[in-house]
Amino acid sequence: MSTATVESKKITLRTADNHEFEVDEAIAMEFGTVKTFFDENPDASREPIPLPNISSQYLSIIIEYCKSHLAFRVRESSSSVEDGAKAYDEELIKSLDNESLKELILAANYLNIKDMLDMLNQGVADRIKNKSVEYVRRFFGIENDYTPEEEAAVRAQNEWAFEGVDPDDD
Amino acid sequence: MLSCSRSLLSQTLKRKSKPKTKSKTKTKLKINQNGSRKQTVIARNQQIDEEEEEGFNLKSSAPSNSHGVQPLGNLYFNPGSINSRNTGLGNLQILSDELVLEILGLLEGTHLGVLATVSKSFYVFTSHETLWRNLVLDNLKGGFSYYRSWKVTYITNFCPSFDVSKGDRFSGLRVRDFYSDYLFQSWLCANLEMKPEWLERDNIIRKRGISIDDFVINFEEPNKPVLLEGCMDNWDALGKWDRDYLVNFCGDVQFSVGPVKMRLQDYFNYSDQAKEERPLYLFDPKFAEKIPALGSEYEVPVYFREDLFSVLGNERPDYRWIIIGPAGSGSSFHIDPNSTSAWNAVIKGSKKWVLFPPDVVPPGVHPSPDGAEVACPVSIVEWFMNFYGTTKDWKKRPIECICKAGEVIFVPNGWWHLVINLEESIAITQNYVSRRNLLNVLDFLKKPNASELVSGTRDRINLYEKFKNAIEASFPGTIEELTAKAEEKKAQQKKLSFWDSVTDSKVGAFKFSF
Repeated sequence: MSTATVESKKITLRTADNHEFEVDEAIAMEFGTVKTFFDENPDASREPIPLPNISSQYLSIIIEYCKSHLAFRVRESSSSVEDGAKAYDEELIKSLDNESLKELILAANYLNIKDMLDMLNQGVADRIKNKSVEYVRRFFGIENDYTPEEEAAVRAQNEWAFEGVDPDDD
Repeated sequence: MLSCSRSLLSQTLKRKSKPKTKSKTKTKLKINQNGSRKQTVIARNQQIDEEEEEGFNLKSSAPSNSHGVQPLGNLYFNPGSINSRNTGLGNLQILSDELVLEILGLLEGTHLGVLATVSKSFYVFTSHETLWRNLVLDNLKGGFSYYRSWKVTYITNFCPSFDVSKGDRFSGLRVRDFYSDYLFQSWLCANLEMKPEWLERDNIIRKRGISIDDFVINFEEPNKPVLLEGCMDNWDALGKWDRDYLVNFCGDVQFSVGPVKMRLQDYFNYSDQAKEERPLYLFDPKFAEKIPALGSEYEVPVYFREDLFSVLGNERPDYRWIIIGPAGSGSSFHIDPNSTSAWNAVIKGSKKWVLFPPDVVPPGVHPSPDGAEVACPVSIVEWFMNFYGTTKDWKKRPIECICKAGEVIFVPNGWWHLVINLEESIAITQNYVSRRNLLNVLDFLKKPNASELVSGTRDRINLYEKFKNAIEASFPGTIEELTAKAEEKKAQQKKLSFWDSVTDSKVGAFKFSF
């Protein structure tokens, strides 16, 4: 029995801080931006693709995500595989601070990786829902620019949303 | 990368006092035309001629619910000014408007209500009507009673005991120094009226009382659009159908409106009040099945009676729709499914049509290579604002017209078309297959990605086989005959071009014709 080594095509990505990442073509094609480029330019030479908006710190996270999810998809769909993917996502989100979460959103948006972007957006949404106004302000470093009268008025207008929300919820 | 336009009048800073014409207030605004609201990789090469000052007519009912949002370019007129959009978002400010809205779109109504009090920036973002429209439609489907705005509709439906007039004094909260292209453009498109110069061009051929042969030879065969007059004269619907008649007649029957189903009454209640960029549009493919009497109050014009999909009986794809919508509703650029041809008859109201032939992709439209997806990211009004002007200089101009009550437009298969209702309109449209486009349709259904492209039926993959066999059964030999004719035509065209190259066809008046 011969074990044939599968030669997969590689694509090189160059980050803003001049690191080069060599990835399997399949991974790079998870990036909508890259896929569209090669769909429309099938004869393009496979030179390193510059990604001036993305640093190596975040690209490596993205590549890991795509690798893992590709592996999940290749396996036959089952509840345990789905749970595995979910667990991976949860762990990832937990590990990210606000700054990283935000930077990854920008990167996933630029690279057009829909699944990852949806997951990251949900991560932010989860961090701000059911929280008090003060918490959200502190959390995002937001300056309250309402005058006391304005704030009271807006609060009155949205009082219906506050019923049942614990003001001191942290 | 947003470039600054040359002259801008900020809405909150200056309003040029102009003599008010009857019901319109003209506000001169120059919008940053480069602000692509959907982040795509595709570069926009089209630029509006910026030498021309553009004025926009706002609907007289335009609410000030832009909250004082200004286009981003205005920021450059305020040196040293901060953008309250950014200070109010804190760390999130670096995200684009679209991304912020995507995140907010994952939240429930109560979350949005709470966030509104965080900062003025959050107030503006959480007020974005699309968020509330999605919440209403997702949670209530078609069973909502629209009241004043989507946000108020949400509150009245979910917290009926809450007095929504409480915040009325402050609903017009003016936010100073908030600059955002996306939100401004969104508000603008919802409140813009169609400019007269967008409605001027009417270059379609109009015919009245022509014979069926005439139609087939001059329009259907060569695949050319035409506007037909006088073929609805014997329709009961033409005199009878108006809003009151239909509401009374149809009662509680639910009609398809976008993603939901609604009673006519509820739909009109919505369409009367809502001012949206993309209004919900009533487009029902089963109206005659739901209310057979409606089906009997109109008849297919004589030109379109050959209807080959009928061989499939109940298994045929959707083929006839009733279409009802307010001014501003319509369909952005698309090609009709399954390579069929169509006719569209206006019973009430009027529609503006813009059509491009199959080989000319309209500006601003990006079909995917396999044709499975048509990305026209802009709404109808935005298309007119940003792309219509470029067609003036094109050699291949679009066909345009305004179709009024009693008129029927023929849309040949494969043609791109865009439609916008200029007033509340009621219409009927049907798609069909005749011998003239039978081969096209079969080719289309045969395609390997048929499962994505074929529409209007649940049985996409087998449609080709089913249809072909049914045709063979009912009209044996037809496909063969048509194929033979098509081959002959191709051969003759080849011959013609051969002779063209041999003879100097410019000399004398002698011309081959077959």
